[in-house]
Amino acid sequence: MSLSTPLVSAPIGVPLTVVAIDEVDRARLKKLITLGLLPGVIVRLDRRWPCYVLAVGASRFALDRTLADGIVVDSVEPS
Amino acid sequence: MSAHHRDDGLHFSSHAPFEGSVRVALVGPPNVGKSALFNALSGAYAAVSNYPGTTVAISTAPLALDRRTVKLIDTPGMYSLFPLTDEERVARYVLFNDTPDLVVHVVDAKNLERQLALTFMLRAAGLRVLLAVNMSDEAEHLGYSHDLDLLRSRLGVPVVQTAAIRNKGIVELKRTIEAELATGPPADFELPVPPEMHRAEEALAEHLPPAFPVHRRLLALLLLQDDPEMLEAVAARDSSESLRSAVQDAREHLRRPPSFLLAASLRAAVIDLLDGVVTAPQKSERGLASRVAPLLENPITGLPILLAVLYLAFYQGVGVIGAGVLVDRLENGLFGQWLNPAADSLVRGLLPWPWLQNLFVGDYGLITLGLTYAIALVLPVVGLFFLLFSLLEDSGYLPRIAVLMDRLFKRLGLSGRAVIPLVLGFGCDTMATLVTRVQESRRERLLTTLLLALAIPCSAQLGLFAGLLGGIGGARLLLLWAAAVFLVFLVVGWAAHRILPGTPTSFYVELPPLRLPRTRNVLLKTWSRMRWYFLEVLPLFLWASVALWALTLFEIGGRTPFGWCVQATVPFARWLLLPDAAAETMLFGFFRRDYGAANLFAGAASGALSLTKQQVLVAAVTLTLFVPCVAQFLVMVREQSVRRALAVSGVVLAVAFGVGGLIARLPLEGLLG
Repeated sequence: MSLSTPLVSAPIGVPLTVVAIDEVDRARLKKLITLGLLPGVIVRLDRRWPCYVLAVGASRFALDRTLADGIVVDSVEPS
Repeated sequence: MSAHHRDDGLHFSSHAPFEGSVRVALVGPPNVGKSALFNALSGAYAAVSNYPGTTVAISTAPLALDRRTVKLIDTPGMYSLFPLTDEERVARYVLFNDTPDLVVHVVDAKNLERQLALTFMLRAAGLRVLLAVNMSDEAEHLGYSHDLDLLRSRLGVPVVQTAAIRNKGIVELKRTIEAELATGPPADFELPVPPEMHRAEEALAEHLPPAFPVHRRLLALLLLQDDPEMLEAVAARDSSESLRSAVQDAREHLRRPPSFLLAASLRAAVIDLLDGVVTAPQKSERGLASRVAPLLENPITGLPILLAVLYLAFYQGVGVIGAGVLVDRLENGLFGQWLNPAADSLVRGLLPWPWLQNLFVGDYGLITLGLTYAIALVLPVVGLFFLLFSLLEDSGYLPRIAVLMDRLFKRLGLSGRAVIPLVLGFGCDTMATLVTRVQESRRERLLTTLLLALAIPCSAQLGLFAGLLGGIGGARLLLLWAAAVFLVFLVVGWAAHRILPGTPTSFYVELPPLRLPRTRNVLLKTWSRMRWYFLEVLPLFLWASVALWALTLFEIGGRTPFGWCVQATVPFARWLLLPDAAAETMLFGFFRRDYGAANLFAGAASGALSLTKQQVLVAAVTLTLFVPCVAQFLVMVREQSVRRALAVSGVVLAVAFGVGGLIARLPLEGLLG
């Protein structure tokens, strides 16, 4: 059983599934889409400070708080 | 940030600069080795030109195939057909307006899942597409494997595996390009979109003008997302009112933002397509590079490393080796002892008139000032800087600096993205002012332009100040100078951010794996930057030489025009509590920032101009902050506008003399020793 959490308070270093991204702020939505951060994508949070660093597949991205705030994740159950 | 209107001249027209030959365009996101592929395909003979109406550079080169030669176009990095930055806008514009005969979509073999959506979009745009799965060596090394035959048959376009940096797959890519160019026009491609979006798109398509250079269904999709350029381009041919309301109507039937719907359905389609195509490694390998990367991103270890890198690259590299050793050899040795005396006697022998002799040799001569400056001062300093910058760039270090600096820069109204122009500014502020275009908003570009003009000394200045301040007052004077300039950077940046309306844009950056730079690529980059410098910036200094010559050619009322200008500058020198003789230095500063400084310190060192340490500090700080050089001013006009360039220069002048005057009146004797 897992609960969705905002990315900014998700645990570090474990696989997370993006479950939702904010669709209200269109400019932010465009950037998140550009980064491929869509629902269903598995990510890993590497650090929170000074930027949020996310590993997505073989890539890593740094995001600021504004962008990170637009992402909700779910922890992936170990199978 | 809202989609802002931009007036950078990208209007759809019949004007397609690359028309007339068979064109092959390389398209793809940043960091997939597109430039390396361009170099591998074309050899080193790229022509770099600004795309008309913009400042975004596009490289073109002839591409020799078996039976013919076609034109290869390298486009700026683009993630999607929905542009966020100017570079993406230009890349898209090249695709739509120049309609290349073939698009080579370059992707990273490790990131197909995220990057193939663009292949779909390119096909939907009616373009003939070939997929180059690049960086296959890295992917293989990490344990990825691909079934390219399966990918080819599902995707319906040719697929070639390449490792551009190792020259692998290039022959096959060329062969495939040639074969593909011989085929008929591409078949219509149905973009996988959800049914509701399909309906909205069809409803909108009725309102679109015929014979528009963009494929109708794709255009409808772009309009649904409020694409400002497309709206404007279509409105120019149709009454915009009916179009806008049609867009509004079509969108009302959608439950969610069209960009989200499209991205989600493209992602689903890509995942289906890749099923069985890619085998990803079970565990990502932890090589040395991936262990070092976190150290660079963590401020506790990253900031000391950053300081060490800056110290080694800029102070030891550019300052000590470039401005110190190399400049000395060239300026005093080659030019001072050999070339200039030879030119001097040659010119004086050939031209009997002293006034004409002075155009070439003498204090402001084209050879003794202009050319000496170009080869002896600029070549070593700027060349070394560009070399080090290219090394940092290719190693993947720059985005790490952006991560460390983002929070600080946010307080100045900027984001981590400002790192590239600001660091480049330490090499050449003029080039950095051009590079402000990597930033998202006009506001950020203006703020960065101001900070570059004010508080970022270029390598020519850095070299001089580092050497001369250290020589006169030791490390203490050097540190005080650096502290004063950095403080001005922070205070003015903060104040400008407060005063200018608008907010910072949100920041993201891809962190590519750290790599050992390839010599060939680093040299090519360095060479292309230096060529730009010599073609664009140096002629302006030669003209400045001519202007100085002309201004000292004749006298009016007992003084040359230059003398009158010096006279007018004297009150400024007095305000800084400097001797009147320093006025000439200030004036030189406008023509060439470092020359003014050199002049001043030469005077101080030889005792011709007796200055206290505090006066030296005042002069150094004021000259560092001072107006941008002629070349930088002209680029500011081109990138911003005359009005903004003048406003920036006004602020810079006021701050430079304000701060200079303040430092002159501070009780610093104790500190300076």
